[in-house]
Formats: sequence, C-alpha cells, structure tokens
Amino acid sequence: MPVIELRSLVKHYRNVHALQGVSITVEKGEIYSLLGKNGAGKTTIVKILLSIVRATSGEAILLGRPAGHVESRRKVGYLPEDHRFPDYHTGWSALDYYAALSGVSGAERRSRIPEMLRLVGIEESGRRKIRTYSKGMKQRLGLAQAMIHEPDVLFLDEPTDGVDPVGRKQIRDVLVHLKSQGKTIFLNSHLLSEVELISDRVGILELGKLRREGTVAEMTVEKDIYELRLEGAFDALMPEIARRVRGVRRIAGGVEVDVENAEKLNALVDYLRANRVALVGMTRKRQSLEDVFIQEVGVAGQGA
Amino acid sequence: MKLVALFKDSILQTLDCKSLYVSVALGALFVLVCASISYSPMDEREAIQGMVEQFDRVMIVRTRPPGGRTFEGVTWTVSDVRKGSGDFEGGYEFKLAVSNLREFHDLVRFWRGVEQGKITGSDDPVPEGEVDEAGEIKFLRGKFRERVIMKTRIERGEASEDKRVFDVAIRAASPERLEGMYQAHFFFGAFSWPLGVADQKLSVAQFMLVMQLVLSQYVAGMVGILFGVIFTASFIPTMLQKGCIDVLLARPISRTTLLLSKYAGGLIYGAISGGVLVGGSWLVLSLRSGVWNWGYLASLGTLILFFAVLYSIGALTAVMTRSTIASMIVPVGAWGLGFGVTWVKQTGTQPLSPFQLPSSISTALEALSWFLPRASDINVMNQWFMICGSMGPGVEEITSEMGLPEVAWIRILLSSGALIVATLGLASFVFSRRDY
Repeated sequence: MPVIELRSLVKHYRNVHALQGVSITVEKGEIYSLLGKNGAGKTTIVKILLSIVRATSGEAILLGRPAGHVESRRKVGYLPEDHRFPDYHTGWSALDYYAALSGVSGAERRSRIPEMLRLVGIEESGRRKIRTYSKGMKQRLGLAQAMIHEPDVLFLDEPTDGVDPVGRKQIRDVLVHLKSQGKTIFLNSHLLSEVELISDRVGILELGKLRREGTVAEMTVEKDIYELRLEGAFDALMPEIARRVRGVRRIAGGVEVDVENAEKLNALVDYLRANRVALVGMTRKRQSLEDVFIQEVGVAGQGA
Repeated sequence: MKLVALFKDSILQTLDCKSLYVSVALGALFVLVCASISYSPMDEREAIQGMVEQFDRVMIVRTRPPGGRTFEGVTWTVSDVRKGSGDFEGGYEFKLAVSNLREFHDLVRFWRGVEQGKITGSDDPVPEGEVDEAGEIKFLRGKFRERVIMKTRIERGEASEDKRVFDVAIRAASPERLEGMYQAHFFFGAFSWPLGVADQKLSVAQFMLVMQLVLSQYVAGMVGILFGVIFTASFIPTMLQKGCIDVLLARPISRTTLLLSKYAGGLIYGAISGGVLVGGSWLVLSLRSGVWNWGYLASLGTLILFFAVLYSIGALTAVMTRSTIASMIVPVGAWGLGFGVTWVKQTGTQPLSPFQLPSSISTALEALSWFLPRASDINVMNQWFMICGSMGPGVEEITSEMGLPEVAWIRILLSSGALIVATLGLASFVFSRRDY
C-alpha cells in the first residue's frame, strides 16, 4: 500500500490555480523529492496532505487514510519552509512542547530530546532560547522537532536551507539513516545536487502540473547520446561521421554523437574500425538533475 | 497531556514578557501597601458617641442621586459605657440620652416615612402623627441595623418632656464592625487616621469594604483587566504566524482544541494574575484587620468572567486578523462601547435624566448590549458580593432595606456566557476552515 497517494489533486486560491490535477504515489521507505520553481505548488501539496490547506478537488491519501486524519498526523513529521518556532522557548522546551502535542509520554520525551539534539548537532545549545540561534541552528532544531515523535513519514520543505556545507552533509546522513530504518521521506528542495544524491524518485512540478517523474537514474540519463573514446586519425572522418548521425561534437579524445538507434550506433562503430580508428571506450551520456530541471521548467525565474 | 503542553507554552510565552514582571512587581507593591495598614482601638465612649451622633441623618437611597436630611437639633449623649455581658458578651452596654424631643420625634417620623416609602425627597414635609415609646425604640434599633449591628436591646428609662434616656446594649458581629471604634495606621505606622470622613465615622469593616470596592472595581477590574488583555493579546496571533501554525496543525490535535487551549491558557493567565492581586490583597487586608470579607475573594470570579468575555472577543479578532495590536484594541473598544451603550440606556430611561430615549432606541440599545461586554452588570455583581460578604448574616434583610440594586444573575450569566460561546464558536469555525 502506498504511503502517499495523490489523485488528480486540484487547488485553487481565488484566481490562482496552484495545483492542476497532480497525481503522485510514494511507497514506503522511499525518498521522494519534488522539484519546482517558486510557486510551482510543492508546498501546497504537502500542506494538503497535512490538512493545513484543503484541496479544491481530487484525493489525497496519507498512510491509507484521507489527508488530515488525526491518526495519520500522529505518524507524520513536518518541517515547513520558513518555519518560525516561538522564540520564548529553548531548544529543549520547544522539542518537549511539540513532542507532547504529538502524544509522546514524559518519560520518552526526557530520553528522546537529548538524543535528537545530539543527532542534529545542537546539544550544547539545547538550553538556550531559540532567539539566540543562528538560521542554521533553527533549521537543525526544525529537523529535530519533525523527528522527535519517531514518525513513519517525514515531510521536509527545504531542510538544508541556511545550513553550512558540513551541516548539510550531516542532515543528508540523517535522512539516509532514516531511510535505512524504513521511514518515508517527502522532500521539497531547491538544492538539486543534494536531491540527486539521496532521492529514490523525483518529480518536477511546473505551474501546478507534474511535468516529469522517475528515478534519478531515469531522469538523468540522456537517451541516444554517447561519448566515444577513439584512437587513430578520426579527424578526417568527421564529415562522414556527421552524415551518419543526428549530431556530432568533437571532445577531448573522441566524439560525442547523437544517434537515432542502436543499429546506427553499431554501423558507426563498424565504419570507424574499418577506417583503422579503434574504439577504446563508450559511455552513454548522463545529465545532472539540474540540467534536466532547467530543461523541463526553463531558465526563467531560476529561484528554483 | 496535549492541553498541559499548550498551557505550559502559554505560561512560557507570558513569562517571556518583561512587562509581566513590571505588573507583578506593581501588584506585589500594592499588596505590601495593603499589608502596611494596621488598626488600633479608640476610646469606647468616644467611638459610640461618634456613632450615635450620626443618627440624626436620614438617607434616602431609592432616589437618584441619593439624598438625605439631617435633624441637627437633636442632642445625643452616651454615658456609662461598659463591656457587654451575657448575650451581649463582646459588645457594649451604655446609656443614651436624647434631648430636644420635638426634633427627635420629627426625625423619627421622617425616618419612618422613608422606610414606608412615603417620602422620596429630602424636601418632603415631615409626616404628621404620634411617636410612642415603641416608635422611638424601633427607630434606634433601625439606626443600629443600618450600621450592621443586628443584635440590640433597647429599653426606655428616664423620660421627661424634652429628654429620653435609653438603656442600650449592642453587639456587632465583631468590634471591627462598630463605627469609629478604631483608627488606621498606614505605611507601618508612619501616619495614622481615625476611620471616617468628615462627620461620617467608619468601622474597620466599612473601611475595608470601601478599599475592597476600589480594589475590585478599579485596580483589578479596570487596570488589571486592561493589563491582562494587553499581555494575552499576542498569544493567539503568535500561534497563527506563518511557519509556526504549520508545525502545530501538522500535529495530531484538532484545530478547535488548539484554539480553545490557547484561549484557556490566556484565561488561566488572567486568573493567576488576578488571583495574586485580589487573593494577596484579600489575605493581607483580612489578616491585618480581622475582617474576612469572602465577598471580595468571590469577586475574583466575576473579574475572571469579564476577562473571559473580553478575551473571547480578542480570540475572534486574532483568528480573523492574526494581529496582536487588533487583538488588544478590539476587546478594549468593545468594552468601552458596552459601557457607553449601557450608560446611555440607563441614563436615558431615568425620570430625572437630562435626555429621554424613545422606547425603540432603548430596546435597540438593550439588544446591542447583548453583543457587547456588560461591564456595569459585572460591577453590580462585584458590589453585591462584597457588600454581602462584608455584612455577614442577615444581609438579605439589610440589602432590601438599603435599596441596593438587584442582581439579575440569570441575565448576566446568560448574556456573558452566550457572548463567550458565540465569539469562540465563530472563531473556531473560521479557524477550522481557513487555509494556512
């Protein structure tokens, strides 16, 4: 049974069509990342799943129950973007407060709070007022409050926002550790390189519509473009190579070719070998997630 | 557990306000000033003499404004004052000589006319009629009762054409309830003041009642509640801030519970701070005076009720606007408007008022007042509690004689309760349906 299931989800804010029929399924133990420019509808999806916002139409199922069901929320942790914790709390008292609201008993809270503070690396600042925290420390605390009640599903909206590179690595490690424990993680992030590192599947949202979805490997592979490492005098053969493929580009130690199919690729290899050019290596070219993202949503408004 | 957590959060939020410490310090200073007041007994004969000398004034309290008339020609002389015995143990026995019999009988007839409702103004003529021994004794007993001296024995002794001598025994609930019997020392004895204003002698109980009325209606009832509204105004808007409310709404707790818990947190804050001020001052005033007016302590309930009404309006405002400033201004504005509406309605329907309201306007104002905090009703409840608590047993009879305003308990509780339920219901409805 999927942990998260969205079916034709629509949300209108007066004249703004935030979501236009989005369908997503996330299985247990997956890290699913949603990418999109600002205003694409990523946060709206999470808020609908947590009943912070109500859908105009469509269905949102969380842990087998309609979104917003109390029993589902008991097993969910949420770190919102631009979160603001009451600054009259200390890190410790804030975790105590949120854990109590999630139904964690006093004894459990006493043992889990120091554990969480240590996990996110702010154990020494736990007794200080939140108003004295840096942005990165608040972010770490946010992650701790999302995990304090040991939820089955985590919704994280920009979890590494404002965190230094070392901290980002720590947070990534925490997420990977949680995944290894079977937790499901739904991630909204602008940091595509990080998403690429930890996500199982990725969805790209554009103007309230899911433009593309798949595993990172599926998303980043560029079909029909190959890098051929060659030895021999192949410069003279370039005009003929260009005639046999859709596109060709000279690269160091070989060529990059865009071919229609495997048959044409094999024919090209045969031609090169027949002309005493040895094929010493061949790689199907991959794109970075950022390349894919920009390709999908365009370069306008690169806040995403 | 969740409710406790929400309450703890409200407490932390409150304790984080520096202004709270200022108000607590002011409250503590206030309690200290109350604790600095002590009392010492005056000469018994002089005290009783001072008390009976005021018998020549007849108050007419059923008119607005209250008036009265003084029969200054009567001479009152107290002698042979001694401690009471038997049924009057703890009281006093003495002789009371009354001279200028004609004036005295005019006084008795006028007083009787007021009691019977035949006299409604101080310029009304003195009714005709005879005053016999029973009438004289009834008058004296009535005068002692006006001073909350419920147990009396009065026998007429020597009588002449222009003079009467009465053997009197009185016993108040305690010596502190006898007028003029004590003087007060302020600021730990820095200066002293015989209890009374001009010719009007006061008992310790009366002085306490005046102080407690001022404390309840003005210090706690106005300044305290205003502070409470200001301090708690940020509770709900802070919770509704973007980024803060998201984290809370994701928790397994209903929005209504969340809102009502925050409301309850503010209410408990009001109860605690009001309790410290009223309870603290009640305790030290009672310990120093020996007069334990439970009515003053009970008035804390009416203060909390009124604060609950204002805070429910603040909660609705907070949900609608998410603004702390609006959550301060709107309840205070509603308070002022409620006060104004009640004042206009009451004044405009009195016979001697400078303006008269048409019945339709009066009805409209009455209807409007149901949607506003009714400060005047709360004041009436406070007065009732404190006067009743101050007088002790037999109070119903006395309050009836004194013409105190009747308390419309059901209307007050119903209107306040309905307003709280309506505003919180609407706030909860809006909060539950709104996207954050």
